Amino acid sequence: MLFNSTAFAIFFTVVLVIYWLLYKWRAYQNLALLIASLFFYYQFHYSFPFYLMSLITVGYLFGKQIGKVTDAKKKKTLLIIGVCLLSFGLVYLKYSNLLLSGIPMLSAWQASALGILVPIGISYYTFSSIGYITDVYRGDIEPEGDYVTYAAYISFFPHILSGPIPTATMVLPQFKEKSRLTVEKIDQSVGEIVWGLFKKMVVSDNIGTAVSYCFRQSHDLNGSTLLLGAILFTIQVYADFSGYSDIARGLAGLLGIEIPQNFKIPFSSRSVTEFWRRWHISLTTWFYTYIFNPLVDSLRFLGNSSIVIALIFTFCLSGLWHGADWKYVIYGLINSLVLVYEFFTRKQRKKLFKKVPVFINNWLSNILTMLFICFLLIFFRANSINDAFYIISRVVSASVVSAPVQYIVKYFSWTIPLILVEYIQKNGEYTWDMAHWGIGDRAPWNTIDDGKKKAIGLAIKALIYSVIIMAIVLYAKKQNMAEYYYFKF
Amino acid sequence: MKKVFLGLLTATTVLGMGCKSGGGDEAQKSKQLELAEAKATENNAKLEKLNHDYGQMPDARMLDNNGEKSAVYAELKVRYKAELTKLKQDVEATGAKFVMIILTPEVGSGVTNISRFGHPFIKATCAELGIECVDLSPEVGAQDPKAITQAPRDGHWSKKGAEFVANLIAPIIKKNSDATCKATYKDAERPETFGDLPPNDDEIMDGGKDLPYHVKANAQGVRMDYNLTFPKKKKRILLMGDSGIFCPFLDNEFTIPGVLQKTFPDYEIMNTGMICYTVDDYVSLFNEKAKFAEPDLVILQANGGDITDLFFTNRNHLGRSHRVYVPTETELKYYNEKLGAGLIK
Repeated sequence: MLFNSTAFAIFFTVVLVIYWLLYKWRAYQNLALLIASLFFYYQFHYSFPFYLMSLITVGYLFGKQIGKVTDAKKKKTLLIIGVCLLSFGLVYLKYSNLLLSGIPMLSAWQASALGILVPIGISYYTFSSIGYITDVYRGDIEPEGDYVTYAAYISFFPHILSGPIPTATMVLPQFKEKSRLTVEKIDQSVGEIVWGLFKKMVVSDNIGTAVSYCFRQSHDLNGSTLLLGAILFTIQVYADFSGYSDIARGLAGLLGIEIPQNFKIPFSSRSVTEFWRRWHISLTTWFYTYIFNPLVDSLRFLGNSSIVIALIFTFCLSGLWHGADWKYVIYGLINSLVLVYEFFTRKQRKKLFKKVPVFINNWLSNILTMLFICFLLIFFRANSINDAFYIISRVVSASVVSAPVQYIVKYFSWTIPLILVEYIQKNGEYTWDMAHWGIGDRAPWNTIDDGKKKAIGLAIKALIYSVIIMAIVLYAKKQNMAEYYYFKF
Repeated sequence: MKKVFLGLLTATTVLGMGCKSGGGDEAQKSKQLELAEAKATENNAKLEKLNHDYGQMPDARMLDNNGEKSAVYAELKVRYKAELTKLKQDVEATGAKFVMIILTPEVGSGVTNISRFGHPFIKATCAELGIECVDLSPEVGAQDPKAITQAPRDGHWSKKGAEFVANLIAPIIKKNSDATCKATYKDAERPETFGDLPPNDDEIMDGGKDLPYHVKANAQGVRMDYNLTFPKKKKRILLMGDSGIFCPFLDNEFTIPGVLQKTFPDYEIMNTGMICYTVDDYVSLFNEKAKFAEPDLVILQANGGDITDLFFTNRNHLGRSHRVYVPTETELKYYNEKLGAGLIK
C-alpha cells in the first residue's frame, strides 16, 4: 500500500475520520494510530508488525529502566545493552551478507540463501528507538510510561517506511498533547502532499527510465551522456525521496503531528558541508547527535584529529546505513574526506573568495558542489564498485566534451518545473510554502482587510494547485514498489 | 480510440485507392466514405461486445500435452494456413521473395508445447505452399539461455542472442541477393508509414523490468535510423515478426535487424517486428503499409505462438486490423472448458 495508491487514499481517509472523531481522548487516538500503523505495515508482509512490536517493546522497557536507575554506571550498562539489542536485528537482517563475505570460509553462507526477509524501513525505526533510549539516558526526555503512546510514536505510519527519522524530544510529546488542527496547518499539509506527489510521480518516475538506461547501458554511452545520467540521477533521488518525505510530513500534519523536515533546497548548497545540512536532514541530525558528537567528545584529547576521525567514522557508517555493500562505504569515505578538507581550509577559502565578486563566488561554489555531489552519487547508483569506477573514468575522459545523445537530453524537461519551483521558494519556511511566493491568504502582503487582494491570491493558488494536480493525473507513471528508491534503506 | 481512428483512416484510404480516380463523382465518393465509416463503427461495436463477453486466453495455457490433437488446435491450424497462403500470394504479387524463419528464444527445457507442436506444422505448411522455410530453432535451442536471452529477468534476446540470430539469418540474405521487387508505387499511393511505430519515435522504454532500452523509429514508423527514399538506391529487406524481431530491451543497433544492417551496409533493413503480432497482422501490415516500401526480400519470423494467437479472443483483443473474429462452436466449447477450469478470468 503505497502513498500514491487508491488503497492508501481510502485507508488514510478512514484513519483521518476515526482519529478526529476521537479528538477528545488522546489515549484512544494513539490506540487508533497504532492499530492503523500495524495494519499499514502488515500490508507489506504479515511478519513485519511482529518484528516491529518486539523492537518497540525492547525500546520501551529499556527506556523505562534507564529512566528509573540512578546509578550512572548501571545506567550506561543498560544503555549499551539496549542499543546492542535494538541494533542486533538490523545488523543481522541487513548486514549478514557483507559481514560474512569478509570471512572467506563463510562467504558462501549468504543471508539471502537463508531466506532472510529484511523488513521495509527497519533502519528508520531502529534509529528512532536507539535515539529514544539515548535521549532518556541523557535526560533530554522523560521515559514514556504509556506503552501505547510510545508504540504509536515509533510505528507512526507516515514515517515508518522511509522516515524522516523523528527525534523523540520533538515528536513524542505531541502524542501526549491534545490534537489540534488549524486551517493554516491543513493548507500547509495539503500543499506538501500535492507537491510531494508531483515530485515523486511526475518528476522522479519519469526521469527514472532515463537514469536506469544510462547506468545499465554505460558501456555503450559517451562521457557527456553518462554525466547527464549522473545529474539526472541526483535530481531523481532528490525528487523521489524528498517527495516521499513531503507526503509523510503532510499526512502527519493532517493528523496534527509535526515531523521533521528532511530536505531544505539542497541544490542551493555552496559547499558539501552545507549540502549535508540540507539533504536527508533527519539522518544527518541523528548521526550528528548520536555518533559524531559523542565520538568527538570522547576523543577530545586528540585535538582537531578527533574531528577527522569522527567525520570519517560517521560518514563511513552513514554510507553503510544505505546498504550492505562496499560501494556505500567508499561513498561515505569520499564524503568525509571532502568534509575534512572543507573543515581545514575554511579560513583560506574565505580569504580567497573575498577577492571574487559575491555573485560569482556563490554560483561557482554552488555549481562545483553540485557537480561533486552528482559524481559522488554515481557510487550510490552504479550496480557495483567496478561499474562506478568505469562510469567515472568515462565522465573524466575526453568523451565528456562530445555531444550527449539527444534522447537523454530531452528528459531534462521533466526537471524544469521542480527546479523552478524549488528555486523560487529557496528561502521559504518549508518545502511547499506558497505564502513565501506572495500567494494565498497567508502571504505577507495580503492583509486581512483587503478582501480583493486575498481573493486574487486564493484564485492564483487554486490555479497552481489545479495545474499540479492535472500534471499528476496526466503524466504520472505507473510504478511498482521496488521503484521507490529509499524503501530499501 | 487512436487505433479505431487509424483503422478507420486505413479503411477509407484503401477504399479510396480502390476507386477509379477518373470517375470524379464526388457524391459517390462521399457516399462510399459514409458507408465505410458506418461499417467501421458497426465493426467496432461488435468487437467491443465480444471483448466484453470473452476475456483474453493466456497464451502459455492454450495447449496441454494432448493439445495437439484437440479440435480447437486443428481449427487454428486451418486459420493459420489460410492467412499464410494469403500473405505468400500478396508478397509474391509484388515480385518480392518470401522466406520464413522459425525462430523463438525458447531454449533447452524452456521449449513449450506451443513450439513443440507448432514448428513441425509451420514447416509442413511452408513445404505444401512452396515457401522457403528455415528452422533456426535447433541452433538457438542448443545455446545457453543466460547468454542469448535476458534471463532471468526476461526471455527475449540479449545482445549476444540477437547477434547470434543475425549471423544465422545472414546466409539467407546472401542466398537471396537476386530477389527483386517488381511493383512500384506512386508517391500519392504510398501511406505515411510503412511500420506500426509512431513516426520519429525516439524514447526510452523500460517495459517494467528495469531493462530500459532506446527505441528510435524513422519518419515512416519503422524501427530503423534513417528514412526510406524513392526510387530505391539499395536492395530493401523487410523483416516481419513479433517481439522476436522487434527485440525489446535492446537499442536499435543491437537488435537482429540492427546487427544485419551493420553486416549488410548495401541493403536497407526494415524492422517492422511488433510484440504480439501474428500472421493475420502481417497480412494487414504488409498490404496496408509495408509493401509500399517496395521490399525485395520479405523475411517473416514465425513460431508456434502464431497459431495459438489466432484463437478468437486473442485476435479480438490484440489484432492490429480490428477484424472481428466471431467464435466458432469449437472455440466456444474450448473457451468455456478453460473458463470452468479457472484459466480465464
